[in-house]
Amino acid sequence: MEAIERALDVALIVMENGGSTANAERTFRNVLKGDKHEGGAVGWRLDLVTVSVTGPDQTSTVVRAIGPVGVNLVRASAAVVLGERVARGEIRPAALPAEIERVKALPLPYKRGAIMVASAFTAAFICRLLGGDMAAVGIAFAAGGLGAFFRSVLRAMGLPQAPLTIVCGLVSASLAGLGLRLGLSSAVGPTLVASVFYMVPGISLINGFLDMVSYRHLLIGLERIASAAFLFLALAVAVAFAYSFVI
Amino acid sequence: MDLLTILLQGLLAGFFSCALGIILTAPPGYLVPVFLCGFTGRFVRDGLMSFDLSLNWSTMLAAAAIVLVAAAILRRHAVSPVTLASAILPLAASASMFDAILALMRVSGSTGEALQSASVSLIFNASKLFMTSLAIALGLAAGMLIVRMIRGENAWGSV
Repeated sequence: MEAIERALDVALIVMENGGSTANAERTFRNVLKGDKHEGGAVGWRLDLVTVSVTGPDQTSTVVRAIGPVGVNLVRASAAVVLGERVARGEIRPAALPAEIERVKALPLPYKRGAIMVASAFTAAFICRLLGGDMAAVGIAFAAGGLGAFFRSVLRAMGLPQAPLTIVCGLVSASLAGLGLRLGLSSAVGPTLVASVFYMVPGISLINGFLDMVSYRHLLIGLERIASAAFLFLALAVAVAFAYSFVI
Repeated sequence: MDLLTILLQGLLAGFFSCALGIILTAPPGYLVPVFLCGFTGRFVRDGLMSFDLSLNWSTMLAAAAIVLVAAAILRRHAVSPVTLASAILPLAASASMFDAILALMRVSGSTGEALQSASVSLIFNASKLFMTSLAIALGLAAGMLIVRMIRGENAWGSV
């Protein structure tokens, strides 16, 4: 069971940092392979994972809670690579705890300012792609950037994902609505949609889709897609509120 | 749509995907593939539409092209979820989603002819959103099937 626990430690890093279920399971199997352990049946959910191992006399089950799922793909990637190295025998099981701590300590690859600027440009580019004029692009740029700043502040305060999305969606869409209300642009649709685009749950959506088409992770795939749909709904409410403010 | 416009739209989509990749914390080494995949998706879709192919077929083929380009250019030729997530979004029917929401709001508070008009708008935009999403899903699935046939179980990238 110790080998199972160790393998789960690494696999959960993948799950908790936005990695796909296929990668988490592959990492789990890789670490077990390095431990010369056959493993067992694994069941994934967004909130917990269960592993059942059938021995000669009895069946044992390990249940581990999965923490809040965030996004740090550098960490997820490092955990996958760690699993591969363990499977190849480059890292011995005894050295694994130290490696796990190293991976867990990896920071985000981009600073807060870079993410804010990227959010502003995301809003600007998608606004233009949706047919917005240059004034609309400017409004979306400002609304997206300021909303992203607000999001980083609220995230640092530990606000959970759903309220964070609603509040920041309202802030960004209202700022965009204010720009439209001032008559800076007449492209209402592109400006409002673009202003909240930086919060689109792309990773949940694509991981959910990949889980579902793999056929092996249908349940967690549905969970991920339902979670993404809920966040989309929150953004839609924010945009609808801003629209009623504009007209 | 002329070639220059298609190229410019493709570049915008590439830059958009790149910025979204940064928000999604894609490792720096993935940003160039993300840009290329974003560019490819939009370029293929707009290019096919300029040859009078329907929006849905063009979107499906563009989604498949994104998967194939990602698998071709990424290290170890694996499919990377973050690359797909960033590159697929410029193909999504975002404007239709917004129009469908607005129509839904209007339906709940209208009567008579205004209700009819809002209902038609709701059905039109919701069906466009559904069909585009379905086209993306089918295109992704087709692309991944091809990659999986070539690569087997090792088709997935680490992020």
